[in-house]
Amino acid sequence: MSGFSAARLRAEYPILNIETAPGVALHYLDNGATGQMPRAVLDAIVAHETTARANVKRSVHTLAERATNAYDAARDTVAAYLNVPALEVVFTAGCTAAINLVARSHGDLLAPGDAIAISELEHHANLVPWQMLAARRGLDLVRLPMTAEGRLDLAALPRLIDQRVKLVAVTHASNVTGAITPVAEVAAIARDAGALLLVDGAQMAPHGPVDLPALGCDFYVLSGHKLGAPNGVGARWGRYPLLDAMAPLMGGGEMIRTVKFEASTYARPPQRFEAGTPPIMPAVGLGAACRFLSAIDHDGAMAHQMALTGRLIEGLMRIAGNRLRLIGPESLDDRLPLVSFVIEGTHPHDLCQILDRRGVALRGGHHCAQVLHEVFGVAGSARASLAPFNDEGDIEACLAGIGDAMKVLLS
Amino acid sequence: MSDELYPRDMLRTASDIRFAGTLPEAGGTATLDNPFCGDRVSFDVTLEAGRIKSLRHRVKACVICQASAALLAAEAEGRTADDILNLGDDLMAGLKADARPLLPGHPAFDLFSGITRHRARFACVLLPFEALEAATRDAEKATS
Repeated sequence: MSGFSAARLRAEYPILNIETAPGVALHYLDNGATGQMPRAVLDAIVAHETTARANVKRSVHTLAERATNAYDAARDTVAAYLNVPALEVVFTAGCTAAINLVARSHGDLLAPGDAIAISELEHHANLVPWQMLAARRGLDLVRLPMTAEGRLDLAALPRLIDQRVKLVAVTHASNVTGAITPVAEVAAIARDAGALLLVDGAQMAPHGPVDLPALGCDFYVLSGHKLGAPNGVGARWGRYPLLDAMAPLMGGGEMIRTVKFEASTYARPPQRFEAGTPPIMPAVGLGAACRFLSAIDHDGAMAHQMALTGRLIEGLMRIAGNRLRLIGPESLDDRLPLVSFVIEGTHPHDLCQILDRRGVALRGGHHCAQVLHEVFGVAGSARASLAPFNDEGDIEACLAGIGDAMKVLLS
Repeated sequence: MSDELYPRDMLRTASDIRFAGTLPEAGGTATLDNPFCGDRVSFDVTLEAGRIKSLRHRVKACVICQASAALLAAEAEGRTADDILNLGDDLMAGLKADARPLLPGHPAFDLFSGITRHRARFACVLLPFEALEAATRDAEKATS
């Protein structure tokens, strides 16, 4: 669609028409947790399930061929979204599964004494698998610090990413501070040290196509449900020679080349990493979501969302005054339209509970980023995470709800 | 009766046994299965200066795979493992794009034009390419 219009986009999301209670409209500001599903994805899923539901790569009847074509086409679409060859895209159960796959399969190639560098900003999905790998293989974990406003501290990286570091894992954009990581700069530092770079795209990928060759990373992961696809699908991209050197994580059907009683050989990537019947319908939905998102005017959408983000931050400062603490940058530069905050004297869950009375959906808690919150010295925060369909009404409802909550909780 | 998917020429090509059998003096050999159906293709090759000098195949597979093995065998002499890999990749691209010719410079492979709408059968066409590439690499390894 050319020329961005939030109103036109809202019409594509049936769920935005619901009421959370009689007379209470939905104001969905929890897109960082799960993206809502546009009609195009819903239609693609229904069409697939009602005209092409079958297993893939096995039977040759019409439904099976349709399912196989749809599944392969979904891979092609995701690959185009990331500007990479389809052979380098592996469907997984999600981002967490994708990172665990790298940590297990690539991790087995690392030797005791090697190190992995991970930032303080990471979601648990990009920390815990590396801790498990480190314990299993005798590796060291290197902590990459963030700045006071919650951005990756680039200045510290050349000193910390030394020759022992074989893999660096960072988020493309923090799910708490919203800060966007300058991935190309991190990739250059990692490359100088001879380390590979894995980037967690869970938060960034929903905001439009990603040009992976320009980023210069070696692995990239994304989560389907955050793009508005069904749950249960994600993708892992890796450079083909890296994938080809990796052993499969799971064994079973679909991932084999030849099976004998004593031993088996494995298919080439990506099939090597897709044991069993894959998430066919979710993958079809992910392909549809990528097509839908690709058609949005992203410059226009981001400008719209940044204006709303600025309005939200200003409103929070006005309403909460000295009680407000932003968990992330105040500036609108190099960030996602996502604002995490603490209002002194209120608990994020209590705040979110009262916001829900106005139909405002925010998330409260540590957002699976306990290390980040520990560095900020708080147990949790409330988070508003925007999508292109959000509008001024959503922000005003959120600010009004925060006013309500402060009256209830601080009186 | 001819058929879009199984033209008469395909049945004729599939029964071409000029390159069927074994090479007792093979420098390299490989057997690969189609992981989706269990069809099996084996190639024996000898090399001269890194290029295929002679080859034989054993194919326990569907008509499409048999025909592909026969066509490939007839065009393989003088090629390297990388050549075979590239041929297979080009043919895959042609199948996905429903291109004509399917494999530039090799019109005989248009025999598989009817398969482009049947993605599950692409693996049947490509299995011989993978097996021959593997056998050639095996021979390269033995001579290196």
